Amino acid sequence: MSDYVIEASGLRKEFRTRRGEVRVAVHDLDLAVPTGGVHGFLGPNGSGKTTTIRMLLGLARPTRGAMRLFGTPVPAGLAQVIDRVGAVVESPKFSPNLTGRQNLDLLARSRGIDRASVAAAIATVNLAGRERDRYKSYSLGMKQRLAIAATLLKSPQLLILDEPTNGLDPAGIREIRRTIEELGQAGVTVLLSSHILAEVQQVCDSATIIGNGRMLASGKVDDLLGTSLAHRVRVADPAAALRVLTDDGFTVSHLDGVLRVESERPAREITAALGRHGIWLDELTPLRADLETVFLGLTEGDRLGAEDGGH
Amino acid sequence: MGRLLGLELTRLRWRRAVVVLLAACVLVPAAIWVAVAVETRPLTDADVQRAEDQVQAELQQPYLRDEIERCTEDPQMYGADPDDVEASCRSMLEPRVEWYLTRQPLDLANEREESGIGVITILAALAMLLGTTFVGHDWNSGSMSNQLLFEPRRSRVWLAKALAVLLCGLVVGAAVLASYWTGAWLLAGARDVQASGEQWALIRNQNLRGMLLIGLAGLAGYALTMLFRSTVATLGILFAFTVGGSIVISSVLGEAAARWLPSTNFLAILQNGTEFFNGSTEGQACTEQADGTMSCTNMETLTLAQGSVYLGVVLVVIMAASLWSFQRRDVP
Repeated sequence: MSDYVIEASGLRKEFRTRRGEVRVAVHDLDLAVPTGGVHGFLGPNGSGKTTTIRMLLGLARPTRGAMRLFGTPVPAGLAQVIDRVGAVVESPKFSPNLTGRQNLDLLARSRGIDRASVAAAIATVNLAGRERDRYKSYSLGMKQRLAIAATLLKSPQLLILDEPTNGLDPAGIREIRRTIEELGQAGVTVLLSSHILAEVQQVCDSATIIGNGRMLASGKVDDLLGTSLAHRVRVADPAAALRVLTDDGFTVSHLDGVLRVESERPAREITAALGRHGIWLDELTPLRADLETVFLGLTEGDRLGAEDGGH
Repeated sequence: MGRLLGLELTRLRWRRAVVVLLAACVLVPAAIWVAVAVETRPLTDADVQRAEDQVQAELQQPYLRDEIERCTEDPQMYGADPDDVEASCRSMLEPRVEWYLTRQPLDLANEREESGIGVITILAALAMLLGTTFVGHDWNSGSMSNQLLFEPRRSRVWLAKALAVLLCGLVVGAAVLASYWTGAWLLAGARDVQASGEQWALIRNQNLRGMLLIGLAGLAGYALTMLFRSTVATLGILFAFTVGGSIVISSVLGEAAARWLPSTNFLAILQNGTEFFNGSTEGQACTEQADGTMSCTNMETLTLAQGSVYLGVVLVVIMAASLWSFQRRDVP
């Protein structure tokens, strides 16, 4: 069995405009999503995230490249693995004049899923009591929750969520993130596509960053953020501390009473050096690059290109 | 496949526009039946009396006397019998009671060719709308992509929806046509109108062909909408074809165009052959009469087989294009 639930290599998608020009939405993308946990799929708007997901799910045909879900080549073998995959692509799409329940019933029947599972999925996303209302009367949050309920009908091992918190209020966002975390903890592999950096950093174990249809970086979130190379130090006498640490070989800068100590040496050596001179710490904080910094650094050159490359 | 078909039939039943169209499939033929019943009701004494009164009133009109005078003065121009000019002129010009008793009694042979064809044509149009709106909704709401996330085998999805529309058209066509002609049979019985077994056989066969046409019209509407992915686009194209298609065909094929009009071929299937006008010289058929003169006609017969081949080819082309497009194109 493959260690990856999603594998894509050399994935390319070209669109032809009405003027006959070829636009490339996904450029020979390689993607590998490991089994288990929540994997972020991060990129600016128009970077090719949704197009990639749509190709993985058989909704769009790749111009070239190979894809596998659970080791099975798709789209040829999609029917064999579709029961293990739940997905929400872009906005929720249901029949507006049918009730939430009817919409789910129709989807469930196409896979022979019983009605009890429909009720359970509705309960899981807290839509019980509103499932008999027409879909068009739902708020955006409820529509989003119904879409997630639809993905849960199949008890999926892989959940692909494309911008699931788009348009939700803070409570709705928190609820969706909690659900994603719970699913990840329950053993479901979640591919979370998002352009919201904080969301990915907060929820995901690993991430792939793409820009202009190309993969820019991929790995564990901690690895992407990098190890800490700097510390913030606050003491009663910063001038004395600056002198001590500089003498001890640290690179130190001083700004507004706070020291920034840059060194590959561990934090305990900072503590020891100051302690030897009777200087006691009020604060010692490792300074890590956040995902936003990493993301912007990687995509800076791609963001403009993404606008005409993505779909 | 059976599960998908059942699912699509449920989806069809739950769609409001489909329910409205199904109601129209019942109400419109019912209204036609009522109109036939009213228009063919037997003449009453009051009707006859009213007609006689109108004749008397007409006879008093001065223009009638003037016309008879002109006729007697110049019988040749009026084509009157020269042996008895006045009687001939009066016979030709004076109104008669039957002129005012225009209501024809119920005649099932006539109804087969008139209201019978009308009902089938309307049902076929409604079935086409039904097939269009059924799947147009899937495209408009975007729910097609959701459906494919549960059943990614597109040919099966296409086929299940097609079968649901076809089945719906056939069942509705059968039920409505059977009800309509049961109503006609009851009406005929109530009015003591007789129809031969041969006439009933013609009615039965026409309705069987009509039922098939209704089902296939629904299928064509469905296939076109799967191709164009929009109810509005399909209806627009159908409207443009209805309005402009005959003009284009006529301008390309000239006097022989009627052969290639869908409506002519539709009638050829429905009526087990139909006559159409072919104004071209190739279309003129002349036969020598017993007296040695030549009799020529531009009316040609289009057979059931020819009509079936024509519409069958059109349908197969539409379906093939629709299925190919659905399998190949990206789904929004």
